Amino acid sequence: MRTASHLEKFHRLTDLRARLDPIEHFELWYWTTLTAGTNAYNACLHFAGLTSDDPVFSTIPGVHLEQQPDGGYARVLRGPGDVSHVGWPAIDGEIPDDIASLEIALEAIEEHRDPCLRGERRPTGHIVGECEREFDRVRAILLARAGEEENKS
Amino acid sequence: MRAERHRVLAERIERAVAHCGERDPEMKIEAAMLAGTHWANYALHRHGVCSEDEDIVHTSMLVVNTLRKYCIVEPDMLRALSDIEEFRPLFVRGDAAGAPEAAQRALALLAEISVRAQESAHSTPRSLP
Repeated sequence: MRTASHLEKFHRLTDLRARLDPIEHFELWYWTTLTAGTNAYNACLHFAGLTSDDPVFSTIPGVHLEQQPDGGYARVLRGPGDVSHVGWPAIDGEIPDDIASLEIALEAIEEHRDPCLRGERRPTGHIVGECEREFDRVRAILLARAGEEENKS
Repeated sequence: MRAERHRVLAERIERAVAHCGERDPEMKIEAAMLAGTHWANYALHRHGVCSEDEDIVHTSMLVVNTLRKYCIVEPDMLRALSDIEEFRPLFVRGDAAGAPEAAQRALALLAEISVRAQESAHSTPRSLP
């Protein structure tokens, strides 16, 4: 997906997570956080030239939805585009330090996904605090990358 | 996971999505997917066709024969869930036109799934090998 769309989604999702209560609405607050973070990650990978920002949409690794001449979308086989989770698919090439830090932050957020959303773990202030702290790192890394790109142009 | 825990999580997500507005189609679709999946697991556990340690995460990730088995008891529910899942690459991971309409449709499908799942609470669980 285009980098501009990742950025636009990131900002809207960040706005939504501020409207949700992190404990009362934990599941959706958490998912909004994770989705915003994944958009930040993809935008950074596109900025770094490690993945393509062609206007195709990821499904499973290697399969993307691509617009057809009739305006509809069809599944096609393609190389790396957007990633859905860190490591899914893995990215070829050397990962810059800031993006490696972003990956660590996203993985720390993902630690809570299955236990809290698909298991018995209840959300706590500690879990929320950890997600907030890691999301702040994600946001800072994205904004720094986006700022650098703006200065270049 | 226990059927009752699925119900609790589905209901929490349904309450949270009320805070999404016109500008939040992605999370309406994701909420429908998350809550719809919990309701489907709730119903399948109640029917006794799916044990508490074999939850669905995505219908698209199920082994075909397993999906067929679940469709014997809840064909409409699993079709609705699959329809919601089809919106995700286009409007959550993608920026295709029509996201607000897709989000409304996803929430309508979730409402259907929710009603059907709650009806399943009255079913007599099967005892399958």
